[in-house]
Amino acid sequence: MKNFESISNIINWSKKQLLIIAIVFFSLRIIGDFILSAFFGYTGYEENLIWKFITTFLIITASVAYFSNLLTLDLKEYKENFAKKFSEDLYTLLLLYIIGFAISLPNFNNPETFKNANLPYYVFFQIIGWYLLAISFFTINLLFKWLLARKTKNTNSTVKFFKIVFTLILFHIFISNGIEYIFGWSQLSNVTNIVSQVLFWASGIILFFLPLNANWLKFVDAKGKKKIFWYSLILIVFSYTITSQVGSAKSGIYFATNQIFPKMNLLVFYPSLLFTIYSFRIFIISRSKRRNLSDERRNLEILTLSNFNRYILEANTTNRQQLHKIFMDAVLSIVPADFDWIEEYTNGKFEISYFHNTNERAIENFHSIPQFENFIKNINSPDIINNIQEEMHPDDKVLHGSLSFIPLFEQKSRIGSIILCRYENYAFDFEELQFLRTFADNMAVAVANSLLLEEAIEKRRYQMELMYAQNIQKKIIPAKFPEIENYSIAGISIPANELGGDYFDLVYLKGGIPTILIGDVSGKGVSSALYLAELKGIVLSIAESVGTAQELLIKLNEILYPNLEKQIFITLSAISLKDNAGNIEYTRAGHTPLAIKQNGTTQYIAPKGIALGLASPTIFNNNLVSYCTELHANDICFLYSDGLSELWNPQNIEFGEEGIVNLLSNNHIANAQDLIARAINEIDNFKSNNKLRDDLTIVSIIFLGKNNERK
Amino acid sequence: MKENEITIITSRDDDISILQIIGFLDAHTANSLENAIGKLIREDNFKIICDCTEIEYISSAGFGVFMEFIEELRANGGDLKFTGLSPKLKNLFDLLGFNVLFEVNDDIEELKSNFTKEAK
Repeated sequence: MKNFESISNIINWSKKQLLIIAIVFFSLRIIGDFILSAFFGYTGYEENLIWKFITTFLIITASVAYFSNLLTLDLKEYKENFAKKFSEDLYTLLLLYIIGFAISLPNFNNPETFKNANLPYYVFFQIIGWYLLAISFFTINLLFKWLLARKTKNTNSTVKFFKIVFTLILFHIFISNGIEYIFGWSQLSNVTNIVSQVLFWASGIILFFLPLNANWLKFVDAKGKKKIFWYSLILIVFSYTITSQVGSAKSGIYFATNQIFPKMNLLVFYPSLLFTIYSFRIFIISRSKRRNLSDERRNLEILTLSNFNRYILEANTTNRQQLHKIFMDAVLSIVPADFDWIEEYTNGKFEISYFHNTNERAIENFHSIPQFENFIKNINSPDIINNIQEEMHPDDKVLHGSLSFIPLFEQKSRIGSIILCRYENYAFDFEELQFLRTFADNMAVAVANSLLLEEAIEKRRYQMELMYAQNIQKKIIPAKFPEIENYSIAGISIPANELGGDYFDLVYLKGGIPTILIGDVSGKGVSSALYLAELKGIVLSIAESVGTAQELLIKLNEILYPNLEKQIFITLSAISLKDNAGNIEYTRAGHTPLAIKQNGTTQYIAPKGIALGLASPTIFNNNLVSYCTELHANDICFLYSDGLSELWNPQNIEFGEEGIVNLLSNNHIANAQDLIARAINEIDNFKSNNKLRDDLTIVSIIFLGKNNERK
Repeated sequence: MKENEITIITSRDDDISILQIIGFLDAHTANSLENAIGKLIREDNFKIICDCTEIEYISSAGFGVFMEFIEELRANGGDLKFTGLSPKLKNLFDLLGFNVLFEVNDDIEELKSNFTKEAK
């Protein structure tokens, strides 16, 4: 950076120096002319040619150096903001031409003013000539800038051609004419005159057709186009007027320019005529009714962008390499390349994941250039190398053309690059670079999206797994109880979330004693559901080895206590239907009490019992008590989970034990299924819009009477 | 106090920590209590009294938190005791058998002195 600053300082300094030198020479020349004319009486513009030659040569050399310096400085800015800079320059030139027009107006078609001017003051008229010459230099400067900023494969030869033409014109003016005036040899002058005229018209034709080939004006927006339209129109008028005057021997400014050096008018005439042709061409293009290509291209870009986004969504892919390939295809549809490749850097490994029209050796060849390595490593957004030889100085002189680099990111880490190459130098234009930058930003968003997509897929997978779990759970809880003589039994379990932790079942103990179980695993969700499945398995495996409900619970606790996580416990109640005459045994391990309706009265029974998994067998067994009773016809055992007793209505009132008592008080309960249906109805009415806070399970057992045998 | 909200205030009386639990102790808030007790244990405070006067509700997941730590507390010469149980909560303790596993007393001073006695 420091180096760069000092270099630019030198350029600035020498530019200033050159200007001062030119001005000093110019002043010397004017003063010299004045002295010569005042004291030695020289008047004709064909006299003092040696003096004029030397001074003019010095001034023009300094000016050419000055303008070429100016050109290098402006060019960078010009490349990046061409449309704006170009119309600004047209405007400046327009002003210069108008001023030129204004100061030369009195001399138009009037050589007398000039010729009749008194000595020695008439030498000052040449200042008008010098001014016009300066405009010519500005004009040439603009033309070169215009050519160089939009470099194509033909640019270098075109620039060379123009340089030759201008050199030849200079040669014709200074050498051929000088020789003719001094020695009277007109042969050389005649030849160079014809050659320079032919070449001039050739360059005129080139300048007329060049704007047609280059696509630069197509990307200027409507407002910029309008500006260029007016500027070029006015420029045609003024530059043509000056051209015609400076080329006509009847005009005062013809003499004013030739006062500098004989035939110097040609150095004004040719450039301004060229510029008239050029302005005319620009004028025609700027008012063309063709669809604005800048809009067209933008539309295409937007289309490609949205296609790209859709692609990614539809591709449904989170595969990074695939994403990069899709991205590259989209980029290539707007910014085509002669050859290209994608390289990926994963875990410090370098990998070429895709290449087209090139091979791995060629790519490695690129990477062996230190400047290439450095460049590719340090870019944060797409960038361009216009000329590999000039900018990267590879040892391999065969490498040529231009490169586009697109860095690839995932979150914030650099994961790869896309490299597009064209065989021509300066083949990528600024609009293409802008597009690449926009597209790269979009790519970053797409990658972020694909990561989100991955999460969404993950979520979906989770939902699927949940569905399977739910299906399994449905199998854990019986859809229907088996027929038990003299009993009507039904149950339902409604999970609060996707997976429930409540359980009920009917198992047969040793000797075929039907035993109804209801349970609740502590906590919620997946872990509860898993323990529930475990519980069911254990119950099934031990049921036939135990004779009573109490034994069943003791055995369960023995197995669960050492195996459950510390914070997990299971409440469980068991009712064994010891015979078909209404004798039951009820045991409770931490579960909600049994609501039992006997002879029309409902009461709660809660014999001692610690939840499963909380206490060691010793403590558990010592605190477990069975309750035995005899049911009569229409007596009801109602088991439930705390999801029912702790159910809230919108007024924050609990369904509670009274709710259950009310439910059972109805005397027209036909069977257990009917009771469940009523209960659900009641529960729905009660909770209204409230969501279930906990899983809700109810099991009802109705004793139908001793001799109520069903067929 | 809204559902899913809990406030836990820790105070000290000599070597006994008193956790005042305010609000709902359920699956959503269990984590806060876990953190509070975990912190006490990390700081070598193993004698804990839970003041449940302002607990509105304890779910099974809430009870799970007490079970999670009880072994560790007792192994370190400490314990977890409860005071200020509402009749409803007391009933829940009894139903689950927590009254067998934990010392529950409305008189907090007695709980404290029991801690001291146990130490001797």
